[in-house]
Amino acid sequence: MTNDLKQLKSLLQAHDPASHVRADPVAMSAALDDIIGNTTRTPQMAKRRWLRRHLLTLIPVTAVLVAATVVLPIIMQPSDGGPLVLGPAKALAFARNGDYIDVRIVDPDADPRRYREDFAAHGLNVDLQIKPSSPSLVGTMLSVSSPGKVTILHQDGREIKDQYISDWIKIIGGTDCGNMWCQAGVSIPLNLRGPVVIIFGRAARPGERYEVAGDPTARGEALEGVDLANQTVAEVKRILRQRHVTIESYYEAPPEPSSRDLHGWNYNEHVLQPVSVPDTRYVHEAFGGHYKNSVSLVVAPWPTSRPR
Amino acid sequence: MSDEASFTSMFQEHYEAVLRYAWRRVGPADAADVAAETFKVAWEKYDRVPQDQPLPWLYTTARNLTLNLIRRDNRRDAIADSLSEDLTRHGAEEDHAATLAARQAALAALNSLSDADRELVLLMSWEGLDLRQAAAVVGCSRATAAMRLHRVRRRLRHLLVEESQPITDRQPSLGRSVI
Repeated sequence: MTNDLKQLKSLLQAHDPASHVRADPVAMSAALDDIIGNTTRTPQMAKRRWLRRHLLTLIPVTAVLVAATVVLPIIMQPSDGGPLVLGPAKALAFARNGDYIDVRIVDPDADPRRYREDFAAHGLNVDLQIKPSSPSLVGTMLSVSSPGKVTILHQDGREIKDQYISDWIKIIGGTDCGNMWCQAGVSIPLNLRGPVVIIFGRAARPGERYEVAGDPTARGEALEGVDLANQTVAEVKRILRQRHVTIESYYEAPPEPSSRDLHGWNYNEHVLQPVSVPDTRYVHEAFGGHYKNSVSLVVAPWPTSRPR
Repeated sequence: MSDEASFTSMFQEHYEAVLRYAWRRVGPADAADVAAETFKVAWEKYDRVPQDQPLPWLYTTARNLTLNLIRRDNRRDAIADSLSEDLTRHGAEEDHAATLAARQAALAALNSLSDADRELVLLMSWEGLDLRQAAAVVGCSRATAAMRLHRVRRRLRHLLVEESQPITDRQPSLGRSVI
């Protein structure tokens, strides 16, 4: 190799745009779980397939658990705050950010005691609850609230207040959950007067019911990228069959042109029996079901004028 | 070891390298998606992934995905922008004019290469692959890769001869699309 080429290589190495990039364990865990849980492998020899199924029944590998065993003591990543540092129980990572502290989940499958231990080590009165969720919500923050207090929604965070005090919890964006509200993390004031309850999503174990189901057309979900609005029930059934998705329930769509949500339309009061839903009805939207590869359909005899 | 366990091990060992590969080519916005998609393909075709040395296979897959992404969005890759930005940021602070000129000449040479030639140089510089591994990623033989490197050296020599030319006389080639 000549000096010219060596010089170019040295130059490139010195100006590597990704030299600072470190993998985020949270994103890794979610990605691994999604890949193993939701990706169909190329068929191989029958014997090999049987072996794999057999092993799956004997060893229910939860990718999250495996991934969580290789967390780094310090997780550097591009962010506004300082480096993320693991808490003593290694369940959460914290980064000081001015008067706030950014919090990320490192082990979404940890015992709640370990979250409390990590929060307590930073003097934060936070109860972190992890709920089994559908793939697009795994590793994301789903809710912030406080018992007995009012939570006011703001674009960049949540204000939790009573008649005496007010705490601002900032949100850390960067996630995409379709039409659901979810965030990558949370930033908590160092002088939090709390207590605050934060709900995060974790991957469901095999056969486990989702407590929080995401937008079924969001990334990683059973109908990723599919637009069902204004297709007939018959057409949607065909699409669902192709994707091995089942229908958990049907809901009656709110009457139009009134707004579907603002007038308090409670879908649970408008459940339709499957036999009463003709294939000619129009699908207005789909909700994620409570089990893997299941959805609920909102239907009406007319097409919607506001497809989502 | 089950497939899940060995795949998980491979994922944990090589995810960051693939993420960096994607970051360098398509920038931060799409890097994680490309990395995740690469491993998704690897899991789908896990029996075809070389167990002893999976990284070149993973880079090949990531390369195909980044090329598809760039073609689909009808955009250029992120290499020119990131290098140009880095050069401006560090170069002005630390270097005297001659060094800056040498850098610009070298980067101009890089930018003037064909996609495959440039990828070969980048794989050996940023990803640290040897010639045989880099050749496998761009889909050519080791001999072809060696010939391409020879061509790169010739071009470098040609451009570096012009180094004495004032920097201000040169056209800023880094901002131009190389696709």
